[in-house]
Amino acid sequence: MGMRGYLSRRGLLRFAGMSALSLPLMRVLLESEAALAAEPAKRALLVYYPDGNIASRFFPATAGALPTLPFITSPLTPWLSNVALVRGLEYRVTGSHEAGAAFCLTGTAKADQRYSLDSYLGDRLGGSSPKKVLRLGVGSNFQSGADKLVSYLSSGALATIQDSPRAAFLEVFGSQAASPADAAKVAAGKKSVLDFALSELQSLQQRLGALEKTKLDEHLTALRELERRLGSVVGECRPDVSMRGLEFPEGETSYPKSFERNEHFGLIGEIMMDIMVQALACGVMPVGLLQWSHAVSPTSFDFQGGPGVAKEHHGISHYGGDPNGADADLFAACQRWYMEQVAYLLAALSKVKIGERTLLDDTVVFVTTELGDSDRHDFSDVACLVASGTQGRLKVGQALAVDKLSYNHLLVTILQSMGLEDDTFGDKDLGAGPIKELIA
Amino acid sequence: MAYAASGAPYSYKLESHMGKPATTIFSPAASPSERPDARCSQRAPWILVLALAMLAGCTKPYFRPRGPSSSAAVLIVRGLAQVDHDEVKLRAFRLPERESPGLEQVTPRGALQLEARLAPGRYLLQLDYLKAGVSALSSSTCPQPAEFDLQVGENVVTIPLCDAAGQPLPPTEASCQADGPEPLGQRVLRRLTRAEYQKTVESLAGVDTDVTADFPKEVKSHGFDNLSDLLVVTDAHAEAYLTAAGKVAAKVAAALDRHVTCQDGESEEDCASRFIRSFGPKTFRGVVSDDEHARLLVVFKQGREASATLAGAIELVVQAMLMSPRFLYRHELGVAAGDHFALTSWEIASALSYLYWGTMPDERLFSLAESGELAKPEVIAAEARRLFEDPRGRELTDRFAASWLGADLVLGLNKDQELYPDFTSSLREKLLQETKSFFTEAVLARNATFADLFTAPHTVGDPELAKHYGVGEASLPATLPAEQRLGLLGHASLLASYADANATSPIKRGAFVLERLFCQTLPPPPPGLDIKPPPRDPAATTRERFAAHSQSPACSGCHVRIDGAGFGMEDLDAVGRFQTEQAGKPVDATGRLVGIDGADRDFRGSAELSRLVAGSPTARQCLVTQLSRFSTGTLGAPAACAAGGLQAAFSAGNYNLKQLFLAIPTQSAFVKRRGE
Repeated sequence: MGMRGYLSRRGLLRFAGMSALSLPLMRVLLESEAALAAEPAKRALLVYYPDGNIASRFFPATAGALPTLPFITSPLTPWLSNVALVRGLEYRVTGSHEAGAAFCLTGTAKADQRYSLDSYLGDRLGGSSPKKVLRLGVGSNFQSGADKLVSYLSSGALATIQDSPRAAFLEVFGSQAASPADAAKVAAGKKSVLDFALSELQSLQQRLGALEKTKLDEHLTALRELERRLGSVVGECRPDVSMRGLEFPEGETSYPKSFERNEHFGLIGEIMMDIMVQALACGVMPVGLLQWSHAVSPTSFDFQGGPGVAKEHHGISHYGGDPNGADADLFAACQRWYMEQVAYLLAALSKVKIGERTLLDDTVVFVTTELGDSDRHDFSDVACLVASGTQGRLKVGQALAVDKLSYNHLLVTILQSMGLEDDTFGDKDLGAGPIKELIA
Repeated sequence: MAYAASGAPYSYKLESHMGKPATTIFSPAASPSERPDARCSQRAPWILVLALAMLAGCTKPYFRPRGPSSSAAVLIVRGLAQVDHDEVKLRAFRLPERESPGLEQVTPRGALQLEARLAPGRYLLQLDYLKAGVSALSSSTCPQPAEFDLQVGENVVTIPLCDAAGQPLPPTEASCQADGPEPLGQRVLRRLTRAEYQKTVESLAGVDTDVTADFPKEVKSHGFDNLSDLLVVTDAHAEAYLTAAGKVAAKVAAALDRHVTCQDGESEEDCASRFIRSFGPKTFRGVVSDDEHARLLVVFKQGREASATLAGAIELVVQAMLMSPRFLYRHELGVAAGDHFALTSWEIASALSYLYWGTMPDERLFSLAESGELAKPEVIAAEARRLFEDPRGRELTDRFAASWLGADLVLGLNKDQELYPDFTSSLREKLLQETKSFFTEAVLARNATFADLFTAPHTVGDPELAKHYGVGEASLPATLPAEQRLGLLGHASLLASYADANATSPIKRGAFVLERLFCQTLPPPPPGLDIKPPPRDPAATTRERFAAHSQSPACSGCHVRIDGAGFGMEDLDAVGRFQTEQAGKPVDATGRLVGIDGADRDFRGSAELSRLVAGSPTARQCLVTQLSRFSTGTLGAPAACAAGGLQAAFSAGNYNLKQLFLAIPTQSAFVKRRGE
């Protein structure tokens, strides 16, 4: 099918087109209508943006309820009652961009213990969903970004983040609207293929004993998970994602690929945000991760819809010491643009109606970055925020100031706002318990 | 470097040196990119010594223990060829007197081992490598004394070696079986990389589109994307493999005549069975067992129920084969052969074809595998030459050059467009191609030696490249000004990759030179150190900006080494163009290589650095280490074991590069694997 214009599906959609059954129900809507106020959120959307920030232009000057937002966060003013900012959180890690990227969703500096928040939440909450986590990126793998990705699986391996809008759409909503009978045949075929692969793996593992056990265990787990997902179902859903007039051919070998073109960074971001929100709305997965570019970002902010800063993002993140100087202004304009995208996401979530409520009421949004101050390359005053509905367990609509508090407390806060009882996350020595002021 | 001495019939081992290898230099989660730009060394030297000590075990093919002797303690120092030298001197001081040497023995260059006989007792051993009459490396400068109790018969000891400053040699990380008869490789499953998968399905099924675009990217370490520990199958891989298998299988089914033609009167099942017998071994790169055959027929029958055609059912069988670990992994497991495992001839066929071609074996390799001929060393050597000299052989040199040097980073660079408007994506692709082609031609066409890589005055390319290098619009190959740049270190792919967006970076360049060319291990800065990079300052040269940083006592320990190497390349700018001025001031391109080959060497400019690298024994060894990492897909012991033997082959071949690449499969570690 053509990828220009709109990608849309009419009629029943099955995840990856594999389902033998179809459940004609609006999955999200039914389950959510029953939700009561202060119920834990059922979904999480994690957003990463690169290269740190300028705290004095990100956080409100004074803490308290419904604060006045400064330049960088001002695009969130319409969502003031849905947002909470905590100034004074710090990463307990040493190093630079890459160390921060590996820390920001894992809460640990220990390389062998990385298990990021998206993966953990997906494993805890996604048992019955077609997908546990949907990870989308905007240029997140572009230009060696793979070494700087933020998401880690329970095995510690780097998770894959999909940067291609075309592949993302097909991954989420399937490639063909097959008839139920055809779909059943396809599903049976896939099952017999996977059964064979599983039996091969098992006999290999039996032969090898301890040799390469970790590798084969992970492979087995992956196949079983795939088998489970092929059997799961998305209800009726009509995803309708505009490709903004862009074309993303399959099997590209050119460089950069169509979905890595700097001039389309903003448009591709919008497409990915649309896919993400619709996938959440369709109940494809309980957890989404959106990664904008990557640490030491090469994005030049003169793309369509951007702030017209024709400079490499990481270059200007070193703004020369004066947070209000001319160079800092350029960087602040870029970081402000990222907050505009957060506002776009919040708006999109709030447009999905669930009875009297919206998808935003049911979702915890978490926005973070890998450094504190971009110029100093430190890990203090990390410019992160959370957002959700006003009636949820997360107490939004406020700005807090804390004194050099470990960032891990915020990660625990997110878990608890989603009804999990974890008291620590990541490195348990980096702080137990939530930030109490944020929990209703 | 360290050496073991041995004889017969008793053996004695220093556990304190030979204990658990602390050489986990590589861990999957600690990729080199996580290292901040600035770093300082606090590494305990003994760890390096330990790493070196482990190498001793790799060199065993090059000595033969003497038969039972009288009452003497026998010492045999081996692996001499691994360090460039004029002569090696071994002295043994009897303890506790520590007086004049109880033994002094000198062995000239070219010997592979040194033998000595002593009265049993406790000794301080001193091993010196002499170059032009000067001790370049010695055990006496190492922190710990080389004291040993030597007993009657064989003595296995390890003697660490350090340079004049007491720094151990850059390690060839290693831990071979110190007491085994010869270096052995590792039994391993090596998942196909994306590139290998793609090339394999092209060979197997004539696929002509990229079916791997959505495969997760390999995680790189030390520039290599083929490290077997990192090549795992996650959910995302499994899903992507299933999709790709569907595409490949459809391609096979669409041209089924090419693979099988059902006979008149033959049942469909028999026809499918014949297909499995012919297509299966190619896909699995080995024998399809009866059990596998039966299970594939089950898949066929299930497929036939759902599919209207025979081809549809065969398609499903192909999908199943492609999802099997037999297809997805290169098996290097071997079969038990006494105290080790020997790769099967099928495994050898794959090991050869993936090494030289990055894809599955061809018909000839398969038939040699089937007949068992490939188990013969002379057949392996002949096939290695055939594959390498085939046009596809440049797959190896291209891939190795791009990953060893990190030249492929250039594709992903964003330079300041105001400063470098000509640094376009078209140019970046040409720069990568330049480095690949230069290296490949050097190895395969020019019969070049190691030194030629760094001293060649020419390069290859087109007018755009020539313009970038300031040699006019002439088409390359052209001779470049030798006072400006020589060989690989003059390649803009590297100079631009190891630089910032708008300025040169002595740290990135220095770390590149030390890590990639000299195989030094640079640790991250100590915790708590302020590692803020120097601020941008258009009025200051790069050297001025970084000066404070290499003067700070907390950093200088390491940055004297790193920046010392990097400052000397200041005459080539952030996109690799020659420059004489920076920030309105003359460029100062004086640099210093600290503690390389046992000495500090001052130099000025990239071309002079190139000459130093060209003549450095350590750099020569490092190339072999890097090639071993690449060919074994490991960073640790197996790579070092393979490197041990290759070093000798490299030296014996007068550092001819083609011979080095051809020697890889002739190492015993290539076909023999450890049994544990």
